[in-house]
This record gives sequence, structure tokens and C-alpha cells, in this order.
Amino acid sequence: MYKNFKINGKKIELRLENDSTLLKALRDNGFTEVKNGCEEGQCGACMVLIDGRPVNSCQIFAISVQGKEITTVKGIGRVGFPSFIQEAYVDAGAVQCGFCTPGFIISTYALLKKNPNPSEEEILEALDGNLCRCTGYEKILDAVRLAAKRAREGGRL
Amino acid sequence: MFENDIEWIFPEKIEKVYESLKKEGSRIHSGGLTLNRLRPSNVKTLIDLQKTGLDFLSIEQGIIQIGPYLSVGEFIERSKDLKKDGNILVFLADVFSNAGSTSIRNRMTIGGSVVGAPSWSDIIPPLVAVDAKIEIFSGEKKQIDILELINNKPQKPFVVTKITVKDQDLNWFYRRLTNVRFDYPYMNFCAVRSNEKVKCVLRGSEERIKIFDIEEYKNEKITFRDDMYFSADYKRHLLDIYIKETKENLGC
Repeated sequence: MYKNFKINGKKIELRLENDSTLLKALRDNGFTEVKNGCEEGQCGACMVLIDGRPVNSCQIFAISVQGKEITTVKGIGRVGFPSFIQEAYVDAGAVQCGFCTPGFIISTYALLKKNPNPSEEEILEALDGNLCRCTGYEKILDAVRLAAKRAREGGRL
Repeated sequence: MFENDIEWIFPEKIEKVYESLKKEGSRIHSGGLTLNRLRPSNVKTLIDLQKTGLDFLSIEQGIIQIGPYLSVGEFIERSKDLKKDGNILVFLADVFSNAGSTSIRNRMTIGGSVVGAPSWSDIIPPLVAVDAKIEIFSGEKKQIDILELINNKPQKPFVVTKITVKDQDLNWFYRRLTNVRFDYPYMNFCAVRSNEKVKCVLRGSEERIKIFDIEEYKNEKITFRDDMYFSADYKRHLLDIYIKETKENLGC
């Protein structure tokens, strides 16, 4: 069946089953920037924003978020037009294999949108649903600190 | 995949939720975390609560009113903005923030946790500790104690419509046993002191939920089972430490 969704600011018709997870529905319809990791809500690779809040798309039935604002990492910035958050991840050397990066960007965006001056504790809490198997996290934390600095200097979210 | 072709309905009224629940194979969809994971074979209809307005949080005449559809993440955020007399909301938000991760808490609902009462819950012990009351609708409204809901779940179709807690001041102590911070707890322990008495709530022993006064701890028969990570002896020893820490922290 086909159902209407609002993804990255555009109305889009997705082909899906009525018990598809949002992750499956997005990936089956070309939104492959949403990564399929653990499918258990633990790794955060599939994270998207629903009405501005980060959620694990593998844990959500797609039908249940029809009518809500869905944002993938490409809704934050894309190749050629990256957001300052994505630039901060590159500048801080926080991307290695890159598989977890979309999820981390989503969490960072949600954090900075709410609070551009987060404490260390608030940064750690915001990233508590994202796992990275490459970098050891220090560079990722540097990237969030750098993005926060740029947000305070006028970076547009 | 579910075995059946699922029909979704999005009622606006509680009465409609209740009527729909009477149909064979109907289940309420709240945050959907458990349903998505278990995908029970008998489910035919999912009744989504998002249009029912059950995502409220308010304080009325000294009683905190929590909508069951409210996500744990929203509870934590919105509780900061409420004008309150006591610190119970601070306590609940503090303990709830241990549950899952930020992204899971944005989907996990308080009502779903109360009805499912999973053994790893970070939501149940603090609500039991503060004597939360649960309003349910099963043709008519009725208020029951949270323990009654957990231990003797009503058989008839019912909808949780509200969770209430008295707004008051208390001191608290909370500990959870996990391998890593992110894990669901294998055991959790909550103690609250609102007057001279310290009420302790323990999950993870052989009793589904154990409640005792800290002064009676030595007389309580509390037994544990070995699990794949922690032995019964280890958990027993840890509980002794939690009790000692509670006494130090709550001054008793």
C-alpha cells in the first residue's frame, strides 16, 4: 500500500506494509542515509527526528508517525550543502567508517537546537543512544563541542 | 512481520478505544516499543492513542496528573516547567532518566511501562514508592493502586486514562544493577523518605516487587535467582550495600 508522509519538509508517498518499521519504510523508498544497524534500538544508526525529537526508526511502526514531521540526516544537510554540524564532524576528524555518523548528527542536532551551550554531562546524555565502533568517541565529543561553539557563533539550525 | 494483516485505528475518545478493545485480537499501541519487538501472533488490530489527548502533565489541587501516552522523555522535559510545591516530579524525572537512552525515552510511554510492568523497568519502582494511583476506564472510570494493576491486572478490556501522584517533598535513593549504563537493570532499588519512615521498593528478587520498611530489612526474607550475569549471592550482597547507602544518604 501507499501512504503519505512528510519527510525533510516534503510530502512524500511511501510504499510500505502496514506493520513496516519506519526504518524499513524509509530505506525501501530510497532514504538509505538512515542506516540499518542492530534493529533493537541500541546502536542509534537508524536515528531520525520525529517532530524534532530523536528516535530509533527501527523501533517505530511507520504508520504510527504518519502526519508527523520526519527528518533524516539529509534534512539537516547534504553533500554540497552541509550544515555546520556535519562540517564540525569532518573538521574534528570524528568520521571513520561513517556508518554511525548520521545517527550522531541527528542526536547532536536535537541537542543543539534545544541548547546551544550544553555541559559535558548534557552532551554525554544526548549521545547515550549512539554507538560507534571505530573512533573511541573522543573525536565525536570534540565534534559536538565544536558544533556547539559554532551554534553559539550564529550557526543556523 | 505480524501473522495477521494489521488494521490500524486512531480513535479520539476513550470510549471508542474501549469499544475497539473488545474486538478479538485488538491491542493498544502507545509507544510501540514492546509490540514492535514481540509482534504477538494474535494481534489483528492496533488502537493508536496519539489522538486521545492522553499526553498531559499537570498539577491540580496538589495532585500530579500524568497522561499515560506521555513519553518518558517529554515527562522529564515538561516536569521542569511545572509550578510545584513538592519535589516528587524532580524525583520521578531523576529516576526515569535512567531508562534506556534519550531516543528510547522519546518513544517509551509512562502508561505502556505501567501496563506492561516489565521486570527491567526503571519506571515502576519509583511510582510504587510514591503510591501512584492508576485511573482506568472499563465502561466506567475507576481508580486503583499501582500495585493492584501490576499484581492483579484487570481481566476485562481496560484503558489506563491517568496516573496520579500526590505532590509532596521527599528524599530519595535509587540504584540499578547493570553491566553498562545503557542496559536494562537486572535489579533496581528505590527508597523514599517522606517522614520518619523509609519505604524501600525492590525489583529483581524472586518476588516480582518487594516492598519493605528499612527498619524491617533484617527480618525480611528476600531471595534472588542466579542469572546469566549476576549470581544470587552477588545480588544479595549488593542489596546489603544499597541498604547501608540508603541509611547514610537518607539519615536513618
